[in-house]
Amino acid sequence: MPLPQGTTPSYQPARWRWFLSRVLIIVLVLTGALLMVLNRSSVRFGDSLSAAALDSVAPVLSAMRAPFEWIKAASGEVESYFLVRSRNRTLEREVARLQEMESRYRTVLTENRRLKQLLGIIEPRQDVVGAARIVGSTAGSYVRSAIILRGARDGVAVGQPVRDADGLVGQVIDVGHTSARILLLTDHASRVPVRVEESNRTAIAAGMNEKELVLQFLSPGRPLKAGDRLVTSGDGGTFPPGIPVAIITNPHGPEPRALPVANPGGLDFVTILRPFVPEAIINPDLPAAADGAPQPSAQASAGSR
Amino acid sequence: MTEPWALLSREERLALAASSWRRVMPTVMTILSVIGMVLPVFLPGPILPHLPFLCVFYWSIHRPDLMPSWAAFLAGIVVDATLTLPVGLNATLFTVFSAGLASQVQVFRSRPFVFSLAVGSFVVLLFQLLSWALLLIFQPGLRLEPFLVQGVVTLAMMPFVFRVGAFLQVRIVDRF
Repeated sequence: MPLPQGTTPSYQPARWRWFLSRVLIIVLVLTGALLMVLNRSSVRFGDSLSAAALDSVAPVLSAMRAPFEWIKAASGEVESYFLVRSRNRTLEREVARLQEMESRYRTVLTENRRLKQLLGIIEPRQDVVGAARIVGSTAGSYVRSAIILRGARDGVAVGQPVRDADGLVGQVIDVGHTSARILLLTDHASRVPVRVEESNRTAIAAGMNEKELVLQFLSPGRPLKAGDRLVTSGDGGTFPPGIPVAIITNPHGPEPRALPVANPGGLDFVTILRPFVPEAIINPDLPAAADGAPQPSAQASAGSR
Repeated sequence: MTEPWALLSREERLALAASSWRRVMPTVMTILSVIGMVLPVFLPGPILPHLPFLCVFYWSIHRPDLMPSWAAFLAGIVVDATLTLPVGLNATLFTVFSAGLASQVQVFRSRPFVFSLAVGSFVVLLFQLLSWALLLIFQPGLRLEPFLVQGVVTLAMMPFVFRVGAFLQVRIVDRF
């Protein structure tokens, strides 16, 4: 029924709607702030939400990756068609060079093995959980991560190191049922103990959310050179020693810079490894020491993995 | 509400459902743009643009009725969960920015894209600064430069996102 003209309606739905929408905005902002506070107070809060998001996004990304693979394959085909002769010549030269290197490598390897036997050195093994393909990677201003299609059901767990054919990629930080997220070396939160191969100096390779890493806590020793290779030192017991990490690009200044050797932005396969030193397993049944620290016998046994 | 639905024929119900799905297009576009941020593609820039924020920006100034605060909040939660950001960060910022932009619809009406770009540069910078300030709570010592770079990259993607948004708006959303 139309309202009589000249009178003010007592009930104004538009005004009520406006009021309710403002109330809703305030409620939502307060809810968002509360979620952030909960996130700040508890690190584990939001993990299940993140894992669920990961499991739902990963298959979509896997399907959406197909066109990029086709483009990559097609460009490879075109390139090989036009460059087949020159590439053949380059490869022949490369094969000759590698054969010579292999011969020297075999000699050094045998000598190395013999010397290690004499000294009784036991080399750590790199236990592999499995291989997976990177289906997504993000380069945001806060997080640098990649998504793989392997999850808890495949034995992937938080903290496991991840590498590709070139070198270290990062570490598993988030595990869903069928997928997992890797914290890349370039992430602000990433810290990897490294060793300079040439001079044996140790340092921490820290991510900065940029393309390069910075070297912190560099031990004294021979000056660094551009092109020096950084490998994992094995300190801290997560990353197995000897995995290539980065190449020094700027050796000067208090915090030298290095470029990671692995490129997780592509469509490559990665290998998930078990941590170098297994986590300590504390037996809760054994009595704790008077100061609260566990007894030496109660400390962990390393070897379950 | 049930009576009209009950009175509708099967064909009418299908037609109603087909026309209603267009209303969720802005939210769907915003959520799908998150996937664009995690696709394994090589980009010339060092940091990916914040595509979901650009979607919220576009729909808030062009169809604020289809980008209500709850939809912006939901999209923000999806962004946070997918990109492993602190849950609630983008949800809060998206809600605030969508409400703020929606209240200024008249300012944007009948203005050229250059005007949106000029205002957008200020809004994107403010968004990035607020993101950085809030993330400092979680990670002290976080550097500002990556956020500023992301702001610039986001602005560079603005014409593309607005083009896609305009296409969807004209061809799909405004047709009901």
